[in-house]
Amino acid sequence: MSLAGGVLIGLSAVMVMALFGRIAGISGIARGALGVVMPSKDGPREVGWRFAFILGLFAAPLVMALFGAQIAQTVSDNLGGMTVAGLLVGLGTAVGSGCTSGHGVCGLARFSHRSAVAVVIFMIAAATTVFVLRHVLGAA
Amino acid sequence: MRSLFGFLTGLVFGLGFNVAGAWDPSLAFVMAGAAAVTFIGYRLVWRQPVPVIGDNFEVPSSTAIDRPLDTSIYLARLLAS
Repeated sequence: MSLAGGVLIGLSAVMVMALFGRIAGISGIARGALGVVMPSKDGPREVGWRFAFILGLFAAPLVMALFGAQIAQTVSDNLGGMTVAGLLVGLGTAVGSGCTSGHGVCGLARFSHRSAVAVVIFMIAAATTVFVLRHVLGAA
Repeated sequence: MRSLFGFLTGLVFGLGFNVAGAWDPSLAFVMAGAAAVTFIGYRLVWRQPVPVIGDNFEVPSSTAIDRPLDTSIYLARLLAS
């Protein structure tokens, strides 16, 4: 299923480039969508589709549930942990100029060396974090 | 129109994300599959002069592995050490 999911994500990234001419990076799109509450350098036109994209992301598991599919994703109910994690993701994607989708999907597909460096770093950091949380600290 | 397509592209992305499943090492296969599809798709898309409902193709032109990335290199080293 990993590969099938990956193909869908790739398809979405290609559609975003074909339709809007933009990189389908979730962190960048989320930052652009925040233009709803604070001014965006790209103007209101670019805010609309980005906001709609985020809505589409949220709608996906609901649509799947509607068709009776099992959702593999779980969301932690640890509010404190989720807040800290969310802030770290925001900080990391801002400092690193992109996230898994922007660097890992779109960047690698463009053979961007910059993205390749980012991917190697965040995959190591992610694996280390999961290892420490699960096996050192013993959390879920 | 833009919003409709924005929603649809987000929906497809989200479906992919949920079909692929939770974070584990197989995320690498998700990324590889997505990057492969994107690699082929981008090359087909870029044969057109402009996007369907956008003004221009905007692709990051910076190739510098610069300070912000440096900072994350140090952070990663710190985490990995």
